[in-house]
Amino acid sequence: MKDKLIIVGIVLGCVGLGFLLEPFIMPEEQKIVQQETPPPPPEPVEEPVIEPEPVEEPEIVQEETPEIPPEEDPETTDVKKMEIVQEDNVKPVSEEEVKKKGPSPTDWKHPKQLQKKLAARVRVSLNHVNKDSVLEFIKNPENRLVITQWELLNRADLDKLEDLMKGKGVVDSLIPLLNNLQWVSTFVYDGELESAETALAMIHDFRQADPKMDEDVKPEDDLPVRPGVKKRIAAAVAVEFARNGWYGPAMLNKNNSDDVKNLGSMPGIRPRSRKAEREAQKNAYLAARERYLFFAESWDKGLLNSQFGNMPDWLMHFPCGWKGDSPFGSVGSMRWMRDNASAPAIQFTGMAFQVPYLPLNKFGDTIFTPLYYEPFNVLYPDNFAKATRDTGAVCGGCSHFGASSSCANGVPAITVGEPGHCAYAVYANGKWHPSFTISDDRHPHWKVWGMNTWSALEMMSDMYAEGQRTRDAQIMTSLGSIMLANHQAKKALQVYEMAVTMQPLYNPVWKLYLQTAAKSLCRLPSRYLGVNDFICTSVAPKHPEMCSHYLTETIYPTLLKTLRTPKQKMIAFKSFFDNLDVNEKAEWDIQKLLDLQYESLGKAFSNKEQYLRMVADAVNRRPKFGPALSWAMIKAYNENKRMGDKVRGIVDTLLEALPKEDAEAQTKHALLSASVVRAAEEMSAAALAAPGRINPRDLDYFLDLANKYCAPYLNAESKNKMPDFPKQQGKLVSEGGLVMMEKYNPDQSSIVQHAAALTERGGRILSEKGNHVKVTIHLPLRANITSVVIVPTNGCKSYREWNIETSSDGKTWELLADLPDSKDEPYAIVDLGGRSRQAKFLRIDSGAEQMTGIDFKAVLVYDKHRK
Amino acid sequence: MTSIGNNVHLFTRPILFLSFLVLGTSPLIDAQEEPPVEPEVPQVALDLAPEGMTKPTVKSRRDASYSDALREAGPDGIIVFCYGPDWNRRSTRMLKTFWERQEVEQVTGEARLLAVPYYQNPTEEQKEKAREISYRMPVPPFGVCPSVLMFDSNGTMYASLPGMDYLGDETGTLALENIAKKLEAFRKMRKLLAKADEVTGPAKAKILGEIADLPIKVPEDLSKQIAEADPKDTTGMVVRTTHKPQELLYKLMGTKDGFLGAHSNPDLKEMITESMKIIRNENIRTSDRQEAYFLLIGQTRREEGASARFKQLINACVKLDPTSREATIAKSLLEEWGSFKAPKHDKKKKDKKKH
Repeated sequence: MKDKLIIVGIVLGCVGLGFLLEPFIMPEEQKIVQQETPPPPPEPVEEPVIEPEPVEEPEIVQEETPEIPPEEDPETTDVKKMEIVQEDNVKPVSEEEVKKKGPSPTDWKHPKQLQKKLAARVRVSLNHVNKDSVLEFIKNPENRLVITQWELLNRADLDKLEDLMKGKGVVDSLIPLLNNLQWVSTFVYDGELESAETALAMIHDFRQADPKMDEDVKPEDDLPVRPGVKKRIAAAVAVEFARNGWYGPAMLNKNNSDDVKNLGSMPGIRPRSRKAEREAQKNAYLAARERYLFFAESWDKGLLNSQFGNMPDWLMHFPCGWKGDSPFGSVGSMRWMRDNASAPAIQFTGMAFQVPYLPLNKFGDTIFTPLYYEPFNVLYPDNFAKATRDTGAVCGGCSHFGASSSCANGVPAITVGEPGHCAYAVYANGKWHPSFTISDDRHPHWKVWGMNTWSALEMMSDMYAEGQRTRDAQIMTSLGSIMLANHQAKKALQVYEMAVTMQPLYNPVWKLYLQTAAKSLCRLPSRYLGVNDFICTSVAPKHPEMCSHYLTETIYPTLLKTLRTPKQKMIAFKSFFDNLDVNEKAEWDIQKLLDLQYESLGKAFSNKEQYLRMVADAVNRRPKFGPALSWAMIKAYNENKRMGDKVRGIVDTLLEALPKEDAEAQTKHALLSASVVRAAEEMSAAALAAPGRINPRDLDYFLDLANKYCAPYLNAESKNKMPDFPKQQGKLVSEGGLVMMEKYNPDQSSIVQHAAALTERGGRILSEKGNHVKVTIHLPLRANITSVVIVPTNGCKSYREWNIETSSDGKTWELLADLPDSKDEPYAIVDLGGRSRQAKFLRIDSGAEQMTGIDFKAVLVYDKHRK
Repeated sequence: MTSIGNNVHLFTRPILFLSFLVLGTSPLIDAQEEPPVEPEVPQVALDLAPEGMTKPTVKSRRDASYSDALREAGPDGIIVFCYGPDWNRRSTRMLKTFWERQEVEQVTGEARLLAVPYYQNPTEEQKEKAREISYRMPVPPFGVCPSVLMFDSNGTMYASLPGMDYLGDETGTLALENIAKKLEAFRKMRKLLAKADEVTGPAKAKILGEIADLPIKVPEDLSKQIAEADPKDTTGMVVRTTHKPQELLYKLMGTKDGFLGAHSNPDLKEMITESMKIIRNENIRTSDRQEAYFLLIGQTRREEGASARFKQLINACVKLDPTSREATIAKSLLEEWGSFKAPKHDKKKKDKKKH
């Protein structure tokens, strides 16, 4: 009997051991036998045959490039129709259940083992991977918790985390949060969690400082509030302060730098004495703790904008993560702004105007030195915001004040960089509102997926707006990563594909998916084309810049190597153009995408010509993508004269086909014409900028080109009323000239206004803002200049100093006039007093520190020797 | 306001005004004391009282709408409390803890009182309600709530107290002090304006000059009126009210809008001459004269470092008014900038060639 029991014991022991070791010892090859082969993404039904057309046949231009009928991918469609798991409806895992099923405190003290256990648990529980099983799996809150906890550990330095967890009372303090699905999900997924161990250390620090973090104070009114506000604040503050490195000695060094040395005191962040420095080193997370306590206390006392408590968690990151290393982010500043600059959310777009725009302080010190604020430190200890409002600032300070006041009241806002300017944006009523802005070319001072483009910010906002779908995609992504860690590459690929299909706006999953899929996709070009097509269909319509980013950064580098023929490549490229929205503008670096596509086609003339036709055709259907047409013209001309003429012929055909009586068609006509003129201007400017390589015939060609396409618009009524200026003797020789600029202002809708600005009717020459902006005018003939009239849009007082130069060849320049002390008059006249200057080019320099760039109604050049 | 009672009032108002002219007393005031003739506070208006606020009684100076307040406003004008019912809990609490306090009525003289809700995401009903209450009323500066706005009887804002720097805590004790001060200044302004109407020439300029120093928003054309009354500035009031330290700064720094161009190279001697004209002119406000010192202090530091002259200028600036804000700033400079040394290269750069 005893022997039998021993044998049974050994057998059971072996079985148990085998079960425990199963996830680690079973080779992947054995597992994948049961896997379903993922159905391929949509195959292009028929690849259009692209043959070089005879160059003489203009009708080809109007020919629609063959459409690729979108084939429904059963997998994709099903995933889109999949039931979304409602996390809010998921029954929270109770503490009792956690004790039974969730990781124990001991588990958390050994994060490396815990991560393996969690991965093993997934492996055991999810044997078969298909859409139903995965959805079913992630529906279960316990599974979601396991996946999310694994992801948290995946984003931590596990050695450091282990050190942290072994600290006295740390695990007990954190475990109610770590085993809470709701909280751990927001911690991991609602921001960009990096250095999870640091973020958790901060949260432990917060809990020490605020033992009542878990308690919700009941508001005195019935405005909607989601529970656990302070826990969510803790997550947001910790994630942002950890990822930005706003802690520890680095923080001390940063705040002791000369840049911020005199910008205002920040107790706890920028200590002044050695004693204070030692104290701060002990309090490595003091800045984060102060931020947490500011929001937690402000919320408890009902001092924040009421919407804060009901705000989606991802939005909470903006106010909670507002510049921890800036004096505007000090508690003193934020408290003052909360109490004195509290307004309805949308009103924060105007808050920057509270600050007087003063480049010099009362001592005559410029804003560009720390001395500007230094004398006033005595009045505003730890309140840089108030110091700014009372002392003044320029764009940077004004915008920081606006965004900072918004964040201090719990309304999301960020500052954004624009060329030569700083603006800001406030999130209200479901979208970002740019404010204090001068340009559409803006870059948020907030990194989204490692990017600081406006389109990335907008795409992220759109992604989170889809709440539960996004969360499911995030969980699936983590599930895929667990499978990858479990050496189940094929299953991982399947799951990533499902996640991508569910939420194509979720940037991180694309990277993971494409990295994992690279090998298999390269073997199946048609499948890779399907991926390309899917990205274009799902991202390009609303986020063309981000789509372009995906294509240039992740898809094309491998796809273009995989596709062997130009025909296949053209199919891939066409997908992008076909999916563009008619109303989206191309005011971003579309040239990068176009260059990449164009260069990949090889040297064959016919392929390139076909591609340029496709671009022209796309712009014909979406005239707001005019910069693409300008690019095509420049590219063609640079290729050779024949190609240039060819594309010019294509554009002519498109323009001629537009019905004259149709207002919409005529708008399109104007936009296309402007694109050609812009190309001519850019080519001229480029030619002038290349000393020694200027071909006068080229310049004349560009001049003719611009004049031809401007001609229909020259007689249109000008909106700019010209001032009355004394009649000048002789012939107006600027008319018919060409304006060239280094920096175009994207807000200028019609470049044909440039031609009008060279006539007495007036038009508009509007450059991008900056210092020493130059505008060059290529005169239609070599003239003996006797006088020049310049009409700035906002009068002469808007310019401090101008230089006007002339040149006969575009290479050597000679000063014609210097207007250092512009008077408050609507125009300026340079009269050579009977003398004359022979020239073919005239150039105006806007001057030093002329941040407004150039904005003229007219530049008129006269030659009195001509009648 | 769409009530019948109100419409009756609008129609009868010219008649009441004529009666006032003829009889010398206002039948409106009499009418308020006689219960049967009381169309001024209609029941509909009472229902429009903001949430959480006691409904106005017949004798209360608390109105239900800005139109009502304007109609009823006497010499003390209107005082408005702005709050954000759907977004600002503190200001909503302050309706009770501050605005409804009896002390508010005590310190506001005869001013009409009104609480105005300022919504963030109003429903249609709330929009309508807000429109009825605050129709034609200017919004608080930058939309800040809580705020107290003070208007004269024509609806021109003469003071605003935005945020807690002016209102203090939620009981509004500081707010009461500030309201009292502003109202007192407003009353003084009215008296001085009336007095100024009785005289001409320099005497008028002197009275108007007093108004310019009041801590409230003064009439926009005040400087112009002073200049017209005293074209030769015998009273010194013209320079007092027209001197702008910012303009002096830009002029002496050789810049138009504050941005220093490469050619800007202010001359210390010229700066001293010009600034001393301001400093020695006792008609100019002391704070403005101290700011003229600031300019000299800054330029001296740039050219000479913390020289003896630099310290002399600071002491002289402090001496003008040792208790002022400007004196506090100046004194702190001895520590902040006291170790500055003169720049080694004092050669003036002229990178602007004249053609």
